[in-house]
Amino acid sequence: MSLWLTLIAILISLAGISYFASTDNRRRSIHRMPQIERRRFAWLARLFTFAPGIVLLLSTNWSGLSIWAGAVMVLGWNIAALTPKNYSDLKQFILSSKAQLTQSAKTLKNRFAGREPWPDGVTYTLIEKATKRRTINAEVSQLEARIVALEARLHRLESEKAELVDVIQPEAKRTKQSD
Amino acid sequence: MSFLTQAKTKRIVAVHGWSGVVLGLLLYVCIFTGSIVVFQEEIDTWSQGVLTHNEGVGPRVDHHFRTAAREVDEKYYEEITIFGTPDGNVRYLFRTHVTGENGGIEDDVVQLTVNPETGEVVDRWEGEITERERNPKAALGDFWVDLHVQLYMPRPWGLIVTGILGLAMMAAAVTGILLHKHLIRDAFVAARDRARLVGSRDLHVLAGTWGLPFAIVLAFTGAFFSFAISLGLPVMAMLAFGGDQAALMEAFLGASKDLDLSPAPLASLDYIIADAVARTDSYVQAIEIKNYNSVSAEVSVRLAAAAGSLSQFTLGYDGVTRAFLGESPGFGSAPSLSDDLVSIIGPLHFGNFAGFASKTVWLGLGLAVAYVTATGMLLWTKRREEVPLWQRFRQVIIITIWGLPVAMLVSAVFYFVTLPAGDPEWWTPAGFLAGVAIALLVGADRELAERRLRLCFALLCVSLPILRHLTGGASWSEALVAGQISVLAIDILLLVGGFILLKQMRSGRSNEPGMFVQEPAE
Repeated sequence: MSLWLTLIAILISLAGISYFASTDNRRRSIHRMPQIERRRFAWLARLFTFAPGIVLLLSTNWSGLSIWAGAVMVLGWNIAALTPKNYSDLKQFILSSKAQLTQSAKTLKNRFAGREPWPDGVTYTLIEKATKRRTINAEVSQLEARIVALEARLHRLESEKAELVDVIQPEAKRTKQSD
Repeated sequence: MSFLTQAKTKRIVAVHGWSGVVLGLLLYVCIFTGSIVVFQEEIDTWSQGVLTHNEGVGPRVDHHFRTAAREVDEKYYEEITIFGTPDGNVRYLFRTHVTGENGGIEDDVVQLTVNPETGEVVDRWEGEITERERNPKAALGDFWVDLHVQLYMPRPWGLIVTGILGLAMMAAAVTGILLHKHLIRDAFVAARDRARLVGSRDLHVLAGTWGLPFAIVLAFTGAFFSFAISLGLPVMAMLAFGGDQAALMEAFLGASKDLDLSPAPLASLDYIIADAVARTDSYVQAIEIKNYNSVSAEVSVRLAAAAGSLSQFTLGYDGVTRAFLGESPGFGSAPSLSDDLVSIIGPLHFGNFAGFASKTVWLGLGLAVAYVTATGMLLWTKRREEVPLWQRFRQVIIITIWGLPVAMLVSAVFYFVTLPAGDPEWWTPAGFLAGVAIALLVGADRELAERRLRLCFALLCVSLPILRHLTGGASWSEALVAGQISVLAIDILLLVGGFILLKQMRSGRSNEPGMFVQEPAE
């Protein structure tokens, strides 16, 4: 429980630090980004950054306070060390990864459903064979069911035909006799 | 800091720079190895393939302890320590004091290792504690710790050197604060073009700004540990007590009471353990019994740090009446501010007060300080790049930065290969030296040094988990079943780290200037 509280405290402080990093005019001018007139949420960001530490201090959670301070130093440094270009690269990477993952999941689903072919390769061939076998089995079952149904229909038609022959033949005999 | 004149600033720059340049390489070795050995327990588990857990001292030790104690000569009843071992057993250390060959007081011990379930003695060892053989299986962890604590030099010289390094680090940190006028203002200035001098400066200043508080803590606590043992006690004893270390200890820890050694049975240890656990909501790490089976018997129970606390603590009990005597101070004869301060020095240096979480943070902090040291030295040489001597020194820095992890991994390779033959204690340091030789050979080409050393490091990272497995190390499934996550975590960390480095080198990024090399020069 104590560890979870510390983790939450770290995340809250990092949110504050991230705000400061993204709105720091010196950083923005060095990296040729437009200046910000004034920080609208500076007090809130200060509160976010330091309040978790004060809460841990007041609750005499010394181990939590030490972990919080250490983590804020290391992760804060990492946040500050990333340049705006790094951030845009990271954003691009996350977005492209997300798109790639979605596409891969869709393709995989289609392949398992047999709607798309598997690419070459031993593993894929094995999967493809297994999928194909399953599809063929399903088709065979369908065809067999159809055959059974057709056979039943054939059988019924044959028996109907036989009945019709029985009915026609005595009538034909009677006609012959009367002639 | 506008109160500094130009001349003063120049002098401070000289102190900051020269202290870093003269001792920087050793400082880097000390800090980097220190960051890694934060995980010493996990490294031991990983390298030895230990699948059991150290359960500490369980709630029922009394019966097995008394049975085992009957087999030990009464002269060893002076001091007894009971503690858990990593392989899940419990160890009883019966101790008496003897005068050693050099005239100093040494511990003569009988050491019994007992199965906590059956009470069976699985190992018995007797002798002076200084002669006790080290565990060959722990050779890798022990070597890396030695490298950090005393740079693998003989005592006390290694401790004196690391103590001086701690002081140099303090000096660098304090002069860094004085030199850098805009510490807060520049806290978010990410490095500009790394190829330029200003980019190198940004890297050093930013890492230094964020890592400064921890660097001071690390330097102070490290210097304390190095000097307290190697210099502090002997010097203080010589100056204030005419060389009598026993008198010094008595002044620090309080005068020893008059002992009544007439026989009296020891109170139930099981009762004392239950009482200590109930009072503190922690678990027992060790028990110390003084003057066993006598009227003056005392029992001290050392408990792990409670939730939210930094340091472990000790509760005292009367050994005969089992009466609770209160918390025993680790330093001095009564609870005090000095005792509180001394008790947090260890946790703040080792970062082991909250298990994996605190160790991970301390690893990050240590690597950040190592990065500050490395970038500081490179910045110094970059400012003097027209001088060939400094250029050669720059190459030495690059070789040290990447060569140290390479040499450490080569020592691990030697350890794993020689472990089945049972002789890794000699081969592990030899492996480190072989690693240093490899780093020197690979880094001989100034242009390609960093790239080649990175490749070496990446290949070693990837091959080490495989080698560990091939030489009989615990498999992932065995480790998972036994709940030993360390084995998996270190293997995965090495594999992932190695593959990421290899991928970076295969892709276009390999053509970029290295992490530390900023070329071309401004």
